[in-house]
Order: sequence, then structure tokens, then C-alpha cells
Amino acid sequence: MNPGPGCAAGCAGILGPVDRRTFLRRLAAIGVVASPAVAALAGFVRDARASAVQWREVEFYEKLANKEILCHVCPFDCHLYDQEMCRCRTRTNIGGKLMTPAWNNPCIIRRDPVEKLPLNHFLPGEEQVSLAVGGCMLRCLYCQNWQQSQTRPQDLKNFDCTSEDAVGGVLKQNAEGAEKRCRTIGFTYTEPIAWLEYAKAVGMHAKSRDVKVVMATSMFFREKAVRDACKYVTAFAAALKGWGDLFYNKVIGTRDPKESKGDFKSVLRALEVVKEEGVWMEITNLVVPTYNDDMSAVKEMCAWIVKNLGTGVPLHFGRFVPEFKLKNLPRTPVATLDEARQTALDAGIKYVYTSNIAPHTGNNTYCPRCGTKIISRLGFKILMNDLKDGACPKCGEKVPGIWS
Amino acid sequence: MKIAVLWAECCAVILAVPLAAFGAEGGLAPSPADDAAEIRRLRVEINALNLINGLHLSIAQVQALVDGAREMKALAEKLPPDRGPGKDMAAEEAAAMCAALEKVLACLRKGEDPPPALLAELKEKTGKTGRREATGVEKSEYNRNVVEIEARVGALLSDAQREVIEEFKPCLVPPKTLRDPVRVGQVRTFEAQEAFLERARKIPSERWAKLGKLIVDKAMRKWEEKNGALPAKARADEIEKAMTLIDQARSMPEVEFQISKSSLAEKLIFMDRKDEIHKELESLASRRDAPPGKIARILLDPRIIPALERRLAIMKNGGKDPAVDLEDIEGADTCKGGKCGTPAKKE
Repeated sequence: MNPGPGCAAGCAGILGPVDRRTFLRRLAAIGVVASPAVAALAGFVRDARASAVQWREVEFYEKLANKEILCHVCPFDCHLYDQEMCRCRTRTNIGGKLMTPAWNNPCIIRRDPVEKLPLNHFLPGEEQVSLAVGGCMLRCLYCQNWQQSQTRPQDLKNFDCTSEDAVGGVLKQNAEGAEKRCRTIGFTYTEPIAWLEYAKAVGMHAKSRDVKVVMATSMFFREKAVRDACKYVTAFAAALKGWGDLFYNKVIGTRDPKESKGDFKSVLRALEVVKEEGVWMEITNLVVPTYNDDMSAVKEMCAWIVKNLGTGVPLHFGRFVPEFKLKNLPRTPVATLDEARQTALDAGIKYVYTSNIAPHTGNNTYCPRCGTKIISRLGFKILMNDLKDGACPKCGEKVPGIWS
Repeated sequence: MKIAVLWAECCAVILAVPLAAFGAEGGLAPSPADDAAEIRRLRVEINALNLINGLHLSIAQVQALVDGAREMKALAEKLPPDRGPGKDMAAEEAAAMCAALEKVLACLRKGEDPPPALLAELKEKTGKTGRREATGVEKSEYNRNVVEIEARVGALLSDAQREVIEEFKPCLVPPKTLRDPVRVGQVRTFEAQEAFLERARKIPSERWAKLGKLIVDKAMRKWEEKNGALPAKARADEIEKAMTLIDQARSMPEVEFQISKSSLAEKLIFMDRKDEIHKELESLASRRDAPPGKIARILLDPRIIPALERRLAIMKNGGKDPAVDLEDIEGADTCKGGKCGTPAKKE
């Protein structure tokens, strides 16, 4: 009646009644026979994946002794030993050269309204082709696209898409009878700074074919890299995620303020550089309940914008939606967004919007001089556009932006 | 052993029958008519709240809705007792209307257009009974007043809010666009159609040549089950249109397809027969005055006055619900009238 050793009894139907020792011996034998096949299969899979990845040398870095590298794309300035990877999970030190696998392999290609970036002063009602490659150097607790941003590009399902393919795709969208115009490429969903080399290739090619380029970014750039991006970007949807080093450290994932060399200041500097370069920019600020909804900080932020970027830069207050690691928080109350919008208007910013919430007064564009509603929106949808040659139809006040 | 089980079952049945006849409180169970009225009230309230939650109304706007709904209630009270919003039509009128509708339905089920004579009959019936409103002078005056109230309240709403109301379809389970207010006004997605195109692209050419039409036909049949059968000609046209779109999608390189797939998917929607027929019938219904719109029908329904008043009180209280007091609310009872044990009462 004794069933014998458990596993041997269970396998009796296949291997015949055996004792534990015989069973283990047979298992080992199967392993020896099967291991070359498993190894070959694993190698095949690895090779197949590796062959799809094209490695490309990065532009902004410094070679040090002993094949060490200092990356200068973002303020983290990653110091890499051979075979080490940057914080963005893309750039890797391969034998003393900084290489990126984020090349011609976007994980997202789709058409979106330009208002989604958000850009309200940029070709209203038109669409763009959005591109995104995996990776990001930040660790925002509320990231809406963490499945793509918090991983390596090689680990995602990607498309083969060269810069020629992307630009060609945009140009084909404007065939006769097309319902909506689409003459823009947008780098969004993940952080383009993590795949700046590919973004640059697409951007330069787009510029040569008269296709506009927009970039939704955290502005966590080094100055040299921002100036370079300004050569091909037509408009930035620049995120000023909060106010102060502490918020950036705790929620966005920058370094401890005590150790950092001014991570938050780098963001502010990047915004100033875009202004200096004369590239169109709209600022976004996601209002996270209890984290950055303190109106004194919002007031301080608005004062800085007015002083350093001017009153004509549109500011978008985004409604927070529980995501990623902040599922415990509620959505931003509408009253908080209203208060933030009023604070910004009181500070002198002329165009203040609320996004991620519709219908809302803050979706519309009003003339700062006479108060006329110029563009009426329902979220991303344009309900009415009365803008005349980039100006208010009633009083003629010029509204800054890219309108044609 | 078997006899014991049988005995226990018999006892359970004998006890269950009288218990079921009495409610949890020991009184008589509500009649089906009461249930139906309660379900109707709940439907109206849920539907209205689905819309209100997506509108982000201000205090002044909710106040205007409350006032408007009260005016509507006063108007409805002046009507004969069996008329007005929420009142059932007379039994013989309802039977006549049902008979006419059944005939139209039989035609539609076959995928045919209802013959003109049948539509004329329906028009006559709806002309008499259709809107559950009073007839003649009463109806005309009631309608005029309702439209006036609606216009007054509508003027207080923004154009974006009016757009949301216009697009709203009555529902118990709100669509994505309203369930998640963030999505209101966002781009529509056609995920099912996009997935269909993705799958169609993966089918090898030879297989597609053989099975393509069958696959589209099957998809069409599923669509028809939900949305009503199409007449033969319209059906053939829709299949032809879908085949052209899918062929176009199949011939595209991957990048171009990814860029174009949302616009292709949008065009892949088959004709909605229900919508078409609804519009046709709306145009047939005889009305002397402008009909009340969705604001009047959904947001100014007197039955939602308590819900609106409660909403207003919450908003005036800075978002806190003044009515919530843990001492006052009825505790959760997951087995009301059930057979589970009840907690011991405190002495």
C-alpha cells in the first residue's frame, strides 16, 4: 500500500515505478541531453532580438581613462564603467564608447490631436504623428506611460521605423480628401531626451521636408543638448512638474537636493534656453493633490515664469489621474485647478489652461485684452475657432503661437 | 439517510414559501408594479447623474437646474393625472402602439424597410399617443413652456457643456467618455476595429483571397445581431466598403499602417440601422411645436429634483456631503432576507 516516494509515484505512468534515486538520475540524464537544444533555442531568441537592435553612438559625452565615460545629455551626468548603462536605460558604455539601442525602433507610432501634448497655440485642430521609444531617466511616481518609459527599448515590442519612414508617413497623411491635416511629428508618451539621437535624426529629416516637429519633454536637459534640439524642434510642450528641488527629488526621482548639483535649476535653465533660442513653448504643470497643490508654490512658479519667460507663454494646469505608484491619491479636485488657474492669471500670465478635464472654461482661449472667447474647445476637440490671422477678431490683439 | 435528507428539503420548501411572500421586515413583499416604478425612477436618476457627473457644473448652474426642474414639476401637475413626464399612457393606447411597433420590428428583423402604409399607421398612433403628453391646447402650451424653461437653463451652460449633452446617449452604465470625465472631449478610439484590421493584416494572401469575404460577412452578422439587420443592398455595399478598406490596410507598410490605422478603423464602422430608423421615426412623429431637448428630458426631469438638491447642498458645503452622518445611515446588510445568521442584539 505504500505509494513510495511522492514524485516517483506521480511519474509511474510515464517512467514506470522507480525509486527517488533512479528518478533523479533519469532527470539529470534528460537535462544533459536537452541542454544543448535549450541553449541553442535561447541563443536563437537572443540573436533574433539583438539583430533587431541597432546600436548608435551618442553625441554628448566625454571619454575618460580606462574606458570610462561621462554622459552629458541630462543633468544626471552618469559616470559609466565599461558595459554600464545610464539611468535612462538606453545609453550604454560599450568598450569606452557611449552607444544607444534607441535607434529606428519606436514602440508607439500613432496619430493624435496636437492638443494632446498639450499645445493649444499650435495649429489648432490639426493632428500629428506621435513617436515614442522606450526609456526615461526620470522616475515620476505618477507616470502615465510607465510600461514604455520605465524599461529598456529592447524589452518592448517595437516597429522598424527609420527617419525617412516616419517623415514619409506624415507626408502621406495629407492626400486629397484627408479629413484632418497632419503635418507634424510629435515626440511624446516617453521622454525624448532618453532617445535624443533618434529624435534628432527624425527631426532633422522632417525639417528638410517641411514637416513640423513638436516635443513633449521634462526639460531635464543639459544646456548644450537643449540648444541642439532647438535646431529642429518647432514647439516644446515643456513640463515644469513642480516647484523646488524637494518635489523633484521625492516625486520625479532626481537626486537628493543635498547631493545634487542643482537638478531643479537645470530644468529652469533649459526653459530659459528655449526662450533665448526663440522656439515656441507651452508649459505644463500636473497638479498632484497634496504633493504640489500648495498655492504659495504655484504663485512662486508663476512669478518665475512671468519674470524669466514672459507673460505670453501659455501655462497648462493638468488634472492628475491616479496612475503607477500614486494610485492611492484622488483625482485633482476641480476647485484646486480653478484656484491654480486664477493664481496664474493674477500673476499676469495671459493664457492659462486646464487640461485632462472637460468641459471646463480653462479649455478655451480668451483674448487677454477684451476677454472675447477666441477658440472654444471640449478637451481636444475644437468647437469654434475665431482667430483671425493670429489675432483676436474683436480687438485685434495678437495671440502668440504657431497658427499656420 | 435518504429519508432524512428528503424530510429536510421538504421542511425547507414549506418554510421558504411563506417567508418569500413576506419582506425582510415581515410585511408584504412589494408588488411588481411598485418594483417597476422604482426601477423607472432609479433609471431616470442614474441616467441623469451619469450626465451631470461629466458636465462639471457650477453651483449657479445646479441651482438653475433645480429651479427649472421645480418649474417643470409645477407644469406637469397642471396636466391631466395620467399625462406628463413619468406617467404611463392609458392601457388601450399602449396596446395599440405596441401592436404598431411590433409590426415595424418584424420588418426590421427580416432586414427589410417597413412599408409606407405601416409607417403611416405608426405615425397615426404616435400622433395620438407618442409623447405621453396632453393633447390639443394643453399639449401645445405644455411644450411651449417646457421649451422656454429649457432655453433659459441652456443659456447658462457653456457651449462645451451643451456639446456633451448633445452627444450623450441615455445609459445606465456610462460610456468611457463619461465614466471617466478625463476622457470627455478626447479622441474617440476604435479599438475593436483597429484589432480587426491588425488581425486581417496577419492573414496570408492566399487564405485571405479564400476566406476574406466570409470573415467580413461573419463580422457583419455579429454587428447585425446588435444593431439590426440591414436591407440586402445596403448590406452588400457595406461589405464591399469594408473589403476595400481591409485590402487597403493589408497593402500598407507597417509604419504607414500604424499611422493610418485609427482613421481606417473609424471608417470600418458598419451602418447603424438602429440610429437610421430612429432618425426616420423622429422625423415622422407629428409635432406642432419644437420638441423638448435633452436638457429638459434628462436634466430637468422632476424626478431628479432630490438628487439635484443633494448635489447642490454638497457643492455649497465645499464638497462635503452634509447628509452623511455615520450614526444616521443604515448599516450594510449583505444578506437582507437571506438565511445567514444575524449579529446578537445589544441588551
